[in-house]
Amino acid sequence: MRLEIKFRGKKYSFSNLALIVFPLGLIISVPFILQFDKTTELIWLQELFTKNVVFFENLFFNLGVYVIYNPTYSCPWLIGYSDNALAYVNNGCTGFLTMSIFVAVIIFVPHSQVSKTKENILWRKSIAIIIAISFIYLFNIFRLTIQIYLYTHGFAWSIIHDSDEMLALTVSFHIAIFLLCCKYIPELFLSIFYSGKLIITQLTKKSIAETIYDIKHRGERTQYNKVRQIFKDKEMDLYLIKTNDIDFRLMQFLRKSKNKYTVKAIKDRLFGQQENISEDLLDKMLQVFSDMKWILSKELDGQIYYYI
Amino acid sequence: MQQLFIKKLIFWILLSLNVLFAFIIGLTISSMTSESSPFLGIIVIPLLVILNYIYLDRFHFWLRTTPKEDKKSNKTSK
Repeated sequence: MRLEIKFRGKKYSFSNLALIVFPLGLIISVPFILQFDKTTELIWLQELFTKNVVFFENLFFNLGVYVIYNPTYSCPWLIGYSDNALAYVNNGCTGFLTMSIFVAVIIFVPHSQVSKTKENILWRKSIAIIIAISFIYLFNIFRLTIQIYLYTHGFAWSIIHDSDEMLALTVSFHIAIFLLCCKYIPELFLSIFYSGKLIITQLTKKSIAETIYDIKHRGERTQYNKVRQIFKDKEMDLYLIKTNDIDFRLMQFLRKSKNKYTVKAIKDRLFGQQENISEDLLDKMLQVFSDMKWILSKELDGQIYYYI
Repeated sequence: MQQLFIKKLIFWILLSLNVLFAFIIGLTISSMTSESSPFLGIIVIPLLVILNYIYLDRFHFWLRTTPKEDKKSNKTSK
């Protein structure tokens, strides 16, 4: 039975493969992106970026800033100020690295296995990518526009461009953009939450199973094996019992509820949707448990009730 | 049917926007000075093609869901 989580009234469930591919894809793709960013200068993007910055600079502040193209440099696009100072534009200025990482994260986000939350995932991912790219690009344009304006008004470049405060401001904006993307693809954080819940469920399940085993079997493994042998002798499907944890779930249910139940009631409450687990099988198993005195049984009005 | 008409209109606007993007990209490339200017088209045009497919997928999704909504609204009006 697949674990399901609810968020804003919608159900989400993820496949194990997608949950593994998400971090694994990022671990593989991010170093490639970093390497590409280091070794390749995207001159066409730098040109667009430089021209946009100069356009907005002159539009908002009328500073008379101009574009210089010098193909002999590795970063050939430069912004010239009125006092003959130059600033070169590289990949870092354009925000290419962050855009690529955002796109990689959005692409690798696992989609839900529930049909209702799965069907428009392509559309939502596309919107998130468009938002991420355009917002990061616009943020960088206005960042550099304001930085050049401040520089021409006497602020030190080391403060307005290279300081920790500026880095903090940039990171804050990127977190805001990331959260905006999460609005369209909640799978981003839901998958992380789901993974955590899945791990906790597995660990808790194991510990509960061990606790029940200790309580009910009192460390006597021979008794447990005896029950398995009885199951085998009565030609019960041991594989079905093992894969669905039927014995464990029966014990846990009776232990937690502390009420008396008929076989039919147990079947409806615990295995209502699992047609392969029949009432007959449950009846046989409960009788074995009752014979072993793991659980108690009582006959009322011709019906047998089981309880702990 | 009215809902479907609105969605058709949105779909048409989206496709028109895509054509407009393609036109702007062409115009931008011609006004660029660096030697690597064709890379803009090489990278962005395939992305536009993918975006076109996503629009189509969205329209298919609308087609699948809209008649159901209409049926539901008819039932509630009765």
